[in-house]
Amino acid sequence: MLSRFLKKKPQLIDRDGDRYDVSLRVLSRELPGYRGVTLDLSRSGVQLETNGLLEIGSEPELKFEFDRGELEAFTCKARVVWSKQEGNNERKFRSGLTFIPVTDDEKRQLARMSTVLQTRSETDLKTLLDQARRIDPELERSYRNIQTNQPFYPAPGDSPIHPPSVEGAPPPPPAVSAAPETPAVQQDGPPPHLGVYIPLNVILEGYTWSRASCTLHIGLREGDQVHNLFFPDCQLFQVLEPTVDKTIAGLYTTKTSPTTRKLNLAGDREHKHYRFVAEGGDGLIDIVSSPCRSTPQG
Amino acid sequence: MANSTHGLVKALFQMVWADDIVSPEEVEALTSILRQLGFSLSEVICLLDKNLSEPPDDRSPVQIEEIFPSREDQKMALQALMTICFSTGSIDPEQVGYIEGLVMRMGLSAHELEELRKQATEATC
Repeated sequence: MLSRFLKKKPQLIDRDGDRYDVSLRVLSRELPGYRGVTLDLSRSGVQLETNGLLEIGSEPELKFEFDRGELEAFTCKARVVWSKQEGNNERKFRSGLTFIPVTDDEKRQLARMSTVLQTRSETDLKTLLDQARRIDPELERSYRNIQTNQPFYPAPGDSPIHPPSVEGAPPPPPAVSAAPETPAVQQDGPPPHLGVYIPLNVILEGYTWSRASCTLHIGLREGDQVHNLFFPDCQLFQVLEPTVDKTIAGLYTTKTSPTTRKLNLAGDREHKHYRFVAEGGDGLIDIVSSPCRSTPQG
Repeated sequence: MANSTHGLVKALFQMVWADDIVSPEEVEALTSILRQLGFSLSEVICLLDKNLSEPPDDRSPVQIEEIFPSREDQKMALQALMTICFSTGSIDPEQVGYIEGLVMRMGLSAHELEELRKQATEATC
């Protein structure tokens, strides 16, 4: 009876050495679609994701393409030990393969690959960041909201920013008007400056923050191209909605909003409130900064 | 930015502001023209942000015929301005005045003007 509990979970693939989670492109005439992607890799084998099942016992010749210069692309035969569909996804299959190096060169390549992967895995994020700062001390990557000197988060009662509506036009998406129409942002206080709505069809590629120059850099992907926008003297950066893979439908910019008023920005520099919006007008990202630029320096 | 391109960009924004109302159609047409002129998306965003937040200080018409020596370039510039003009589907008297003045100075024939009008109308469809 105890045998049930003592029984080891069947080993799907017999591989020695450490495995490294690494995503590399693998090419082979014998793979479905002639390609696969590594899920993990060790000196003795690889777990591959392909868009078709691999035949157990088959020995495809795999060509590995490395994403860094430390390793050259190399080719090695491997034997399929197991292969299965991933969940209910009919386009994703996982397979375990063991390398069958024949020549000394192939063995050397595998050993070198293992060493490089081990080095990579031991390099923690802090070291990478330190290295990046040494290369460009101005640049510090951040994937969190920026801590500004004057942190500000809109109060729950704050009105969302919408440009004044144009007569005869449907309310969202917001339009642009220069006519002195009823302010939609706030009823009391000085009349707001009217804004500009710039239609876009882009995806957020990423952003970086330069603490030294207080400049926020935003990368916008349009097809295969990434366009850079720089927001100097950035006083507020707030991600309102998760923006990953979300299409940015437009950018609304205004000189005055409840947010800019509450930030109470003094000094000679002009500041604007930028809001990237999704289809339908929902805010995605809020920025308050000096007028945006297409280059890091004005 | 070359002087001629700078002048044309200034004229395009003047055309957008001619009636003091900037419509979404005009912004769309302007974006498309600026991209065709070779501006990147970031440059277009910055230009629109800078020049559409308030009316231009200088409203004196840009002398397109002076900044573009070539007749073909003059006609191309005029077509771009007419594209903005026709983008809303209705023509504003101030915009017509701007175009008329330019046509007179350029000495365009009725036939040439009609050709440009057709091309500009097609561009906005």
